[in-house]
Amino acid sequence: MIVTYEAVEAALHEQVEQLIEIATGRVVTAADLRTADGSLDKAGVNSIGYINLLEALEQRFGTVIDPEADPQHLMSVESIVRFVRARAEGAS
Amino acid sequence: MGEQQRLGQTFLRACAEHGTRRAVVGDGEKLTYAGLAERVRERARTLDSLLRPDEHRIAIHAANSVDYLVSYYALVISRRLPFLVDAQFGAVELEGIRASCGIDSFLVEGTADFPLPTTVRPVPGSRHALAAATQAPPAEPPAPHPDTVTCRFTSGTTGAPKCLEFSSAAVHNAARNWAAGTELSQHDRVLCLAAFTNGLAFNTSLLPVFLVGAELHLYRGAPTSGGIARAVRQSRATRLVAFPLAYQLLAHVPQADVAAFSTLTRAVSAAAVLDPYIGASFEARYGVRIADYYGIAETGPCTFERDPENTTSLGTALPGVSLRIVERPTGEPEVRVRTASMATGYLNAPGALEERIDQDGFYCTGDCGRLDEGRLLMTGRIGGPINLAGRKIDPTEIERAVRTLDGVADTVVFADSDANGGAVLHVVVSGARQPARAEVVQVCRENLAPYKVPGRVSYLPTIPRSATGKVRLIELAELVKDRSE
Repeated sequence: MIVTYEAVEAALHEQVEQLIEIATGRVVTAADLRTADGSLDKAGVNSIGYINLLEALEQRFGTVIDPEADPQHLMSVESIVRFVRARAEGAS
Repeated sequence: MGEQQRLGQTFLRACAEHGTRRAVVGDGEKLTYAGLAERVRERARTLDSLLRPDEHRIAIHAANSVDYLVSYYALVISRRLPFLVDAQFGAVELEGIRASCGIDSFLVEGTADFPLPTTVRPVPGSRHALAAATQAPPAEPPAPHPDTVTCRFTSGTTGAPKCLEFSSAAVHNAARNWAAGTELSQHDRVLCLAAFTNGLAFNTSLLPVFLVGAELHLYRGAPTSGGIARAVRQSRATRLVAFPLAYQLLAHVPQADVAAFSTLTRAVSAAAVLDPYIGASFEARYGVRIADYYGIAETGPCTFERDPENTTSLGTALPGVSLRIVERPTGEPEVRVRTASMATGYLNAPGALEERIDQDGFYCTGDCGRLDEGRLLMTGRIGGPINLAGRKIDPTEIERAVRTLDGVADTVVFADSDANGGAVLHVVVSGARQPARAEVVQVCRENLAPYKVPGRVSYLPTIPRSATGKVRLIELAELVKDRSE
């Protein structure tokens, strides 16, 4: 079986979208995120959903995230994918 | 002595009394009471040099910080009128407040994101800047009551949040009675997660902590369980002030840092209903009972449970508070409260507060409940704003914004549940055209605070209404069930 970089990236994007769906109680869907070009704000992720998302990421990676350090950090699917990838690479 | 001077003197007297004790910790700073008073006096001089004598009404639009405390008390002692404005308010709310309350300038943190056109003056030695609106001021802004020393906001239906006026006596009484009723002492270290604009923080932290010589620890960032545990550990907090969502996360986190909470003796919650299961889980895990008190923006804190064995009620009346239950003409048992910390009125809605105060001076809360041996138990709510995790939202604000979309003739907003059982705003639209969810989200984002952006959007050809135009909510909820975008 051949696994391409693109396939791995697409799977990671899907996982992050699913994480956001769960964090928002399935109020914001993957389709909403794609319509909003991956922007959590534009997709209508509210502060409760966002806190739930950060909580899930913190539990998954055992770290405390400080969104104040970079206000744009983790505000899009792409930036969360980068965060997850960096954590995964750091752990390996 | 003027009322502003009275509150300012109360604060400065507390600072003098507790001089070398630590007063506040936040933003990497630790200030003693003497240091805090000095910083406040210096800020007052700076603001006096920047503001014209007639620039009296100053709105603080910023997140909690040491600077926030300093600016607030500096405005008080320089006899200006501080308006505490939710840092999440957007263009419509801010313009509504500016125009309806006659705001002269905003104290803001980072002017880049401030949505009103303003001219900006930096405030030296501060993270704040003064942003003066470039629009013409209202011709005749409403005059605040002569005793008003602080204004705060609650949800409003007219495009602007309603502005509550508080006298020095009301602010002081709320703080003094909270400190006495909850046994707050100079040995306490209070970690406050709520914004100072919210009654939960204003009444439990902004002044009472300083009255007794305790320490106030400020929290910035997202209130995740890990972040809170870290802050509790660092501050060695004895008292945590937070919304139910924070306790929910702490109660459910799989691997809790329980040791971090070893110094905690009280956990305070308010502003939204706390699920008893969360309260029980939190207590079982951390060994601290959550005191879920009853407080209202218009009246200040009302109750507190002092008996650790009692876990079912919102407690008994705080000092200076009277409670009674009155049966409304429609049969519901309404909770009514009279406190020593009542607001004087709504600056931008004259008469509206007075309409809700009965002939004996009790505020009609719109909450249903009962008293059991003096303990308050809530049983429901009679209409009123939607409570979303502690923030009050008037649906008409959102309906008005969505109705500006082309082809939308009618809208209704109601509180729905998400898949996790949490509350979510659901907007139903009808009209000649079905707008996409993204359009609805965008128009709300552009005009309203982020927490007012609806999560669910549904379309119906017509919204079911009674002959008098009232929405038939049960029928509506059934019609849009499982069909939102």
